[in-house]
Amino acid sequence: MKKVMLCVLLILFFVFFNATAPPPVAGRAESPGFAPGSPRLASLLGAEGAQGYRQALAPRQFRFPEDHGPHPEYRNEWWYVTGNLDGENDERFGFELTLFRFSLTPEAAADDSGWRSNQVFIGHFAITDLAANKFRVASRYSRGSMGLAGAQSDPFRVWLEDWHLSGASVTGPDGQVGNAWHLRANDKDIAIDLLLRSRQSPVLNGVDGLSKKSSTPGNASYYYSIPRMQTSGTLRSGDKSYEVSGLSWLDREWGSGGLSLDQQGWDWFALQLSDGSSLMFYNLRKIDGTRDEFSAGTFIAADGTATALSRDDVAIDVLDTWDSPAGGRYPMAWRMTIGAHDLSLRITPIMRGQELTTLVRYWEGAVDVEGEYRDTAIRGRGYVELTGYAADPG
Amino acid sequence: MPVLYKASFGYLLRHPWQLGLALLGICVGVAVIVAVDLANSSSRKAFLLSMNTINGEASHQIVAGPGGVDENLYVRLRVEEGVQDIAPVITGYADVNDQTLQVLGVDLFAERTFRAYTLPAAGSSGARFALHETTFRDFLTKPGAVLMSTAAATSLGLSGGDNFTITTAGKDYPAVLVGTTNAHGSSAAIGSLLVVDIATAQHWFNKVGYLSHIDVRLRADQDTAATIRAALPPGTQLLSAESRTQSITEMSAAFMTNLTAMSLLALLIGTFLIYNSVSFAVLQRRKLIGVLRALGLTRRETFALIVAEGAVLGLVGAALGVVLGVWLGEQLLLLVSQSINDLYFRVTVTDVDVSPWSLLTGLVVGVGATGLAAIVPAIEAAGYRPQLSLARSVLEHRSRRLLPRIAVAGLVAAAAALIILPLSGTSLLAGLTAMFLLILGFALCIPVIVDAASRLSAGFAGRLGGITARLAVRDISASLSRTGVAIVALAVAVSATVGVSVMVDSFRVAVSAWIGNSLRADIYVGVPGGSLDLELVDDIGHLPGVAEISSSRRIWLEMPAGRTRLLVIDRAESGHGGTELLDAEPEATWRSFEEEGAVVVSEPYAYRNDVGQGDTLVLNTREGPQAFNIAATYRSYDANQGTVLMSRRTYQRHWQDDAIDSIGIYLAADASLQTVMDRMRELSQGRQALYMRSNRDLRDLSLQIFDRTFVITDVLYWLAVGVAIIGILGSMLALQLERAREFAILRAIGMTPWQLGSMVTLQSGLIGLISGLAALPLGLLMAWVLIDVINRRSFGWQMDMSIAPSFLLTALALSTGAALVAGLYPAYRAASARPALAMREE
Repeated sequence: MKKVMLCVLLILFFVFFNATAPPPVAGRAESPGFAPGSPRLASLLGAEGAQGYRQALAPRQFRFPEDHGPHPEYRNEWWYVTGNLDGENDERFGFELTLFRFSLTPEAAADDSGWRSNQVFIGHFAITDLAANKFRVASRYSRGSMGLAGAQSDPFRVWLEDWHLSGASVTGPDGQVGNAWHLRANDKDIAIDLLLRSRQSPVLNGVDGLSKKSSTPGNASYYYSIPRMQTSGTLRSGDKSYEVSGLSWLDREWGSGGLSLDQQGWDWFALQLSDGSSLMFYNLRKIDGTRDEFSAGTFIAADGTATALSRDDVAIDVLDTWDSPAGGRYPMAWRMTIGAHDLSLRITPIMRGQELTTLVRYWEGAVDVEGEYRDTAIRGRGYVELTGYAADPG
Repeated sequence: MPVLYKASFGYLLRHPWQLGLALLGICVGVAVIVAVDLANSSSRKAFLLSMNTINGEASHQIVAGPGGVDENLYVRLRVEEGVQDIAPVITGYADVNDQTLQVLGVDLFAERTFRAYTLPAAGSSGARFALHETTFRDFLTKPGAVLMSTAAATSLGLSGGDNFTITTAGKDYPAVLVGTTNAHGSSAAIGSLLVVDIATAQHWFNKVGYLSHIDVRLRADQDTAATIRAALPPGTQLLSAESRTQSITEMSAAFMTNLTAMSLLALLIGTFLIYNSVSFAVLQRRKLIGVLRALGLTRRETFALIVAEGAVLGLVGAALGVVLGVWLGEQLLLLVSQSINDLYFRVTVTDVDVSPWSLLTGLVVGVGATGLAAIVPAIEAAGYRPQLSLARSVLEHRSRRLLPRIAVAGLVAAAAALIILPLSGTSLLAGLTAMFLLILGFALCIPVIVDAASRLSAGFAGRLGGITARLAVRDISASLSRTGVAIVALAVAVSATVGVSVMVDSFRVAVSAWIGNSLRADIYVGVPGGSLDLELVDDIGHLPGVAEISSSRRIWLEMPAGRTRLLVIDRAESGHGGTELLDAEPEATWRSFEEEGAVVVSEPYAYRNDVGQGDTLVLNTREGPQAFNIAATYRSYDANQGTVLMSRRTYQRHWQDDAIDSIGIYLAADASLQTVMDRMRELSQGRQALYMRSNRDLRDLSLQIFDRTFVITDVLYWLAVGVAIIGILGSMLALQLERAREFAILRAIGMTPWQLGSMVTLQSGLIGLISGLAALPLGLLMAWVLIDVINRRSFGWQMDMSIAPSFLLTALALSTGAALVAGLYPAYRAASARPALAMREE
C-alpha cells in the first residue's frame, strides 16, 4: 500500500516541479518544501480525487499472466523491480527499476489525435556500484499514448520510451521453454539488460492479495510479489560493462485509494535469505512517531508457504542513522525480530548514500542481512525503501 | 573657457536663428537615421525574440515538407533509438475575439529541456489566475485546454476556467483556459502565446498524425545527431534552429537596407545644412578672424576653433536628434512592422526597443558628419590673412575660383559611380554606394551650373523685369559662396523626391499591370492561415454559375541552404495567359509544366539564384532531394525571395499532399457575381468561414498593400525636403542679414521697400527654380539607379521606367514654392529695415 503514496507523491511532485521549474538554463530541478498531509495533497487524494475509479474493496481472483498487465480502471499501479547482482570478479551491484502508471481521469476523452491520453507513466532507474562507490539515478516521464509509454498483458510488456519490462520465453539447459522477464533500461552513465526467471508463483500479500492500509473502505490495493527471480545479463556503470547475475524482487500493486493524512512515511523491507526464504515488511510511520497499525508484511518460507505479518509480529530497532547531505536523517541499520518465526536479523545497507534526489526525495538501496533463524546462522540480501525522512524533498 | 571660445560661442548665441537652424538640420538628419535604425532593429528583434521564445533551448529542428513531420518519427526516436532531449511541436495562429495569437502545441513531458515557460504556473496567494491542482490534469486530458500568460488572459478578458472559442482556418473550436503559463523572464515575447497540448494543436490545425517540427537539443558530448540522421525518412531533415530563423529574417534584409539608405539621404541633406551654417558663421566673422589672426592666432588654432565649433554644434544637434529619433522611431515602427507583416513574416511589435547601440551610432554619425562639414570652412578660415578686414568680393572671388575644382571633383565622383556599377555584380551595398556617389558628384557640379545660368540669364531678366530682376538674378551668382550650398541642399532633396516618386510610380504601374494580368478569376476564396475544406471546394465547383475553378497552395520548402517558396497551381482554362513568361514560348512551356513535371520560376528567383530556362533546380520532396527542369521564368512582383511555380499534378506526385489554400472561381457567362458569392456563403455556413474577394476587391487590396509599403518611403523623403526647406530659409536669412548695409544703400538711392522685398523674394524663388531645374536630371538619374540597380539588386524585380510629367512639374513647383515661402520672412525683414540705422552700423 505504501507505494501508492509514493506514486501519488511522484505525480504531485511532477506537477509541482513543473510549476516551479526555473528556466532550463539554470538546469536544476528544485522543488519547494512539501509535507505530506498538506491541503494540496489532500485535495487530490480526497474522496473527490478517487471518484469514478474502481476501488480495491474485496479480495479478488488473481489470474496470471493477465494480472501482470495493466489495470487502467484503477488510478495507480506500478511494476517495481529491485535486485542484488554480482559481477564476474565479485563486483557488487544493486539496481532498482520502477515503472509507475497513473490515471489522471477515470475515463479518457475521445479525440482524433493519438496523443490524447489520461495515462501518465513515470520511471525511476538506479544503480548502486559498490566498488566505484557510486549511486546513479535516472528518471523519465511520459504520457501513455502514441506508443511512447504503456502497458499490455498479451504479450506482457510495460515500457516508458526505451525502458521496458516484458515477457520473454527462454529455453533452459534442459531444452524446456519457460517464461521469463526481460528488463532493459539505460541512461547516460548506467544501463541494465537483464533476464529474470522464477519458478515460484506470485505471492499474494495482505488478505489474498488485498492489502488494506486504513479502516476506510477503498483505502487498499491489490498487491503481489515475486520475491526470488534468478537474474542474469549485463550492467553498465560509468564507462564499464559487466556480466552480472543475482536475485531480483518484483512488487506489483494497483488501486485507487488515497493515503491517511496522519502518516509520515514508511520503511519497506524486501529480503531474500540464504535458506531460500523471503521476507517483506512495511512499517508505516505516523506523524506522531508511532507505528501505524496497518503496517504489515509477508514471510515466505523456502517451500513457498506465505504467512501474513502484522505490526505486532515484527519488532524493529534502529541501530544507526545517516544524515543526508541534502538534509534529513535516515535510519541506516536495523535489528528486525520476528518472534513467531524465531527469526532475528541485522540489516545493513551496502552503501549509505543510496538516496534518490529525484522529484520526491527518498532512500532506496541494497542491503546485507545477517542473523539467526531457529538458532542457525543465516545470511541474505535485499532492498529497503525509506520515505518521509527528508522534510524538504529534492 | 578660453576667451577665443567665449568669443566664438558668444557669436553663435547672438545669432540664435542661425544656431537654431544649424542644430535643427543636424538634429533632423540624425533623428531620421536613429528612427529608421530603431524601427528596423525593433522589428527584427521582436521577431527574433518570438522565434527564440518558440524555439526555447532547441539547437536544431527536424523538419519535413508541407504536411509536417510524421509523428511516428518522434516516437521511434524516443522508444527505439533512445533519443532524449527532443520535443514535438505544432505551431500556428488562431483568432480569439478578433485578436490573432500564436499557438504552441507541446508535450509537457518533453518540455522540461526546452521551454520552462510553457509549464503551468503555481498559484500564489493573491494571484488572479491561481493554479489548481487540476491544471496539469486538465491540460493533458481536456480537449481544447489552454494555458496563456496572465497578460494575454487579461487582454482577452478571460479568467481561469472560462470557456471561449478560437478560430483557425475559418473553423471554430471550443477552448477553455485551464491555467497560466510560467512566465519567467521573456514575458513580452510570450504575451500573446497560447500553449496547448499537442493533441489539441493537432486537432485545431488539421495536423492529426503530424508535427510542425521536432525540437532537438544537441549536446557537444553526444553523437545524437548521427543517430537522428540515420533514422530520418527521405524528405525529412535535421536543421540548425538558428539558421532556420536566420533564413526567415534574411528575407527582409534588403527591405531594411533600403530604409537605412533613405535615412542616410536625409543625413546627407542635413550635412549640407551644417556646412551651410558653419560656412556662414565663418564668413560673417571674417573681420573678427582677420583681427584675431593679426593678434597672433595661428592657422592651426583658427582651424581648431572652427572645427570645435562644428563639433559642439554637431554634438548638441546629434543629441537632440537622438531624442527626436526615438520619438520618430516609434512613429515609424508601425509602418515598418506593418510592411514586414504584409511582405515577409509575422511580427508583433508594439514598443521601440531603444538599443544604446542605435543611439550611439546616431550620435557618432551626427558629430562625424558635422565635423566633416566644418572642415572646409575651417580650412578657409585658417587661410585668412592676418589683417583687419577682408573684402567680401575677395571671398567671393576666391570661392568662384574654387568652383571648377569642385565641379571636377564632382565629375570624378560620378565617374567612380559609373565604374562601380557594372563591376559590382549584384551587391546591394555597392549599388547604394554608387548612388550616393552619383548624387554627391552631381551636387558638386550644381554651383558651376548655377553660376553660368545666373550670369547668362541676368541680362535677359533685366530686360524682362527691370533692375530689380536683374539684381536678383545676378546676385545669386555674386553671392554663390552662400547661396550655392542652399541650392545644392534643396536640389538634392528635390531630386530625391523626383527619383523616389518616379521609381515608386514605375513600380506601381508595373505591379498594377501585373496584378491585372495575373488575377483572371472572378472570385478568389481562401481561409486565413490554413487550408480549404476539400469537400467544400468540390461542392463549390458544382454550384450553378461556376464554370471553372483554379486552385493554389503556397508552401515553404526548407533545405540546409535556405527556404524556397513553392506555389502549387491547378490552372483553369480561362486563366491561361495570366502568367507572363519572359524567356520561353508559352505553349511548350505549359505543356512541359503540366505533363513533364517542369517548373517555372519567378524573375526574382531566377535573378537571386542565377538560373533560367533550361536549368534545373533541386527541391526537397517527400522522397528526398529531386531535380526539376526550369521551363521558363515568369514575371512576378509578389515576393522578393522568389517563387517556384509547380503544377498540382507534379506536386502531388512528389509530396502526396492534396491540401488547397485558395481557389479562383471563373463564372459562367450568364452568372451573377453576387448570386454566386451568396450561394458560396450559404454552402460554407457552419463548415468553414471563407474569405471571399471579388477580382476587383483583390486588385484594390493588392495595390493598397503596395501603397502601404511605400508610405514609409514617402515619410522619409518629406523629412528630407523639410530639412532642405529649413536650409533655404537659413540661407536667405543669413544673406539678408549680411547684406543689410547693401540693402540700406539701395534704399538710400531710391529703391522702395516694396521693390527691395520683391527683389529678395524673387531671388529666393529663383534659387528654388534653379534648384528644381538642377534636381530634375539628378532625380531622373536617381530613379534610373533605383529601378535598374537598387530594386533589382534588392528584390530581383525588373520594370520599365515610366515618367509621369506631373512628377517633374510637381518637383519644380515644390522647390520654387518652398524657396518662395522661405524667402518671405527675409524679404519682409529687408523691406522693413530702416536704412539709416543699417548704414550707421558701418
